[in-house]
Amino acid sequence: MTPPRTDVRSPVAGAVWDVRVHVGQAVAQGEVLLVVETMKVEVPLVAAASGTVRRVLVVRGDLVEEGQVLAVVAGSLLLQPAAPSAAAPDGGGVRPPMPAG
Amino acid sequence: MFQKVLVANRGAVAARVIRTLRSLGVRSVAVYSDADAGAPYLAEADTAIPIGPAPARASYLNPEILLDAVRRTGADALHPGYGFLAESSGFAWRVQDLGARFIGPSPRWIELMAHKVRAREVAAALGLPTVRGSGVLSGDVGEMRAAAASIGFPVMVKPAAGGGGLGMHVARCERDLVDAMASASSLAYRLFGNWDVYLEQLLPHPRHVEFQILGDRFGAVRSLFERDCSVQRRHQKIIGESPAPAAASASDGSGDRHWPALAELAVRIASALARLGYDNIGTVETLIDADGTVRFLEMNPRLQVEHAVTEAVTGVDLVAAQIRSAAGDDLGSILPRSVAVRGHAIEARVYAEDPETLIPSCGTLTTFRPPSGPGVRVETGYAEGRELTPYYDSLLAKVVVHGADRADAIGRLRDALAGFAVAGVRTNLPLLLAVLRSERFRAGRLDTGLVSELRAAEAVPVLGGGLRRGDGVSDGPSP
Repeated sequence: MTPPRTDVRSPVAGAVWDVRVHVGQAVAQGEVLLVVETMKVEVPLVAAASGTVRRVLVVRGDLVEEGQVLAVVAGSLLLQPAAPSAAAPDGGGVRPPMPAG
Repeated sequence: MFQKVLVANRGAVAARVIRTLRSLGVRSVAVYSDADAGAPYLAEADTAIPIGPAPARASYLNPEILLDAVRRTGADALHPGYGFLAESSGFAWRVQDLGARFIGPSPRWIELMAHKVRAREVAAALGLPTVRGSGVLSGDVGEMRAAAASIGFPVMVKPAAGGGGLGMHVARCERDLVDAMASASSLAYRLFGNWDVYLEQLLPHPRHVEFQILGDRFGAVRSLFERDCSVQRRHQKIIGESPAPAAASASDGSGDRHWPALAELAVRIASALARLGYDNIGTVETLIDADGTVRFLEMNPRLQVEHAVTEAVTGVDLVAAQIRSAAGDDLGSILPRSVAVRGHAIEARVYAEDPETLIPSCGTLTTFRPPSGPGVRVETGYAEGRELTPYYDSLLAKVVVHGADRADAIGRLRDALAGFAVAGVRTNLPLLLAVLRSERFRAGRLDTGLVSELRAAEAVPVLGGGLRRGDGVSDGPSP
């Protein structure tokens, strides 16, 4: 039986600012996997479920489109039986944009 | 008066400055990056010149290219707008070295006020109560712990050379301090080119009230009243208004009675700055806590996004006033002898972002029809068919309304925002409308926690389907 896989998609077009994980790394639910920078805001992409990083498809500086798959996490059956179809950036915190105002 | 002014900015503020230059009969030079070629406001300028690739570091934040543009076009002044290089004293010095004028306070003021720790020291020396804070942190953990303990948790770790609500981190307890300091410091360097961070007292949901200041080069400084900018998300203002609704008098629902203590404070601030010779436009920001204590937060030595609400209630063109002051006109000739507040004005920042997650939204504006009508003013750098790219901030437009009183202004803003047709990107219009509908906003009970409270209120169907707790991007605690 194949463990559920989660595609980690960018919710917005931008540039990859940080890649914090590598293939094979175990990650916990809520852990920040990558950070995409767009419109002067950092958007962290977090693991929707605990599991193991199977693929990292981008490097720092890559330009990405909205909806593009940036990484794939295979959920652990024991820890996360029901995997969502896509990683939403829930629980993440976006950093504030550039000074204006 | 200047002959030719280069506008070193983009979008809504570039459009705004170009319009005033035209009304003053001054020739304007607009600049644009590759991403902004063909932007609608460029056609309004007398000249528009390309300044390089889309990333801001290569164009709008590139001093060499901008200085070269001043030289090539023979501009005798440069208007920095807000953001980008508006608070770079080094850049301001270099503009002056070319024999052109930097339209803003003199560089020594920018140097002083753009550094938040130094600005707080100046305010304290002037006898203004200040938010408790540390000096610049050296990075020594023991020193940081001691500073935090003397301020009291929770504290904010803030970039000393920062602004606009950027790069701020909250530490709720000693355990959070080291991480918050490391993140804030690295972000401070990336955003502002300066590693300095400091600690500041985090007030629980204060009101944010700021004072519009205008000075000339002859030692005169006047205040043009206050703005309430308490409605914020991610430490960034989304609604600003003038006058500030009186906090305690909200029982009648209008909350539009003037607040005499603020008028007195405005005069005190202006006379303190006059003693020091402040010489152009600026904004003094304060936080007011639940018991009414007012504390100096920081001063922005530049034009501010919310300037339009002050223009609406005073009838003063602040951009023209700022330019004339920089050109050497005295305040007596720039402003009427007495300036009064007439009616009530509110500004909403319309951002291209998801109203629920607050994540920015890029794309092409397949529909873009800003509202219009009596008492409605829209500032934007966009038009239908234009694209919002990842390179710049997500401000799509500012909608400013002017009404007879606060209730009238709220009604006009609600109608204007409801009639703002945008497709192709997501916008925060539903969030803005939810704020305007909320009991607390209508009653004038404003504080920086209002937006988080609305977003967290699961029971209230704020944005159509309602909000899911913990979804998306967090606002974080308010400053």
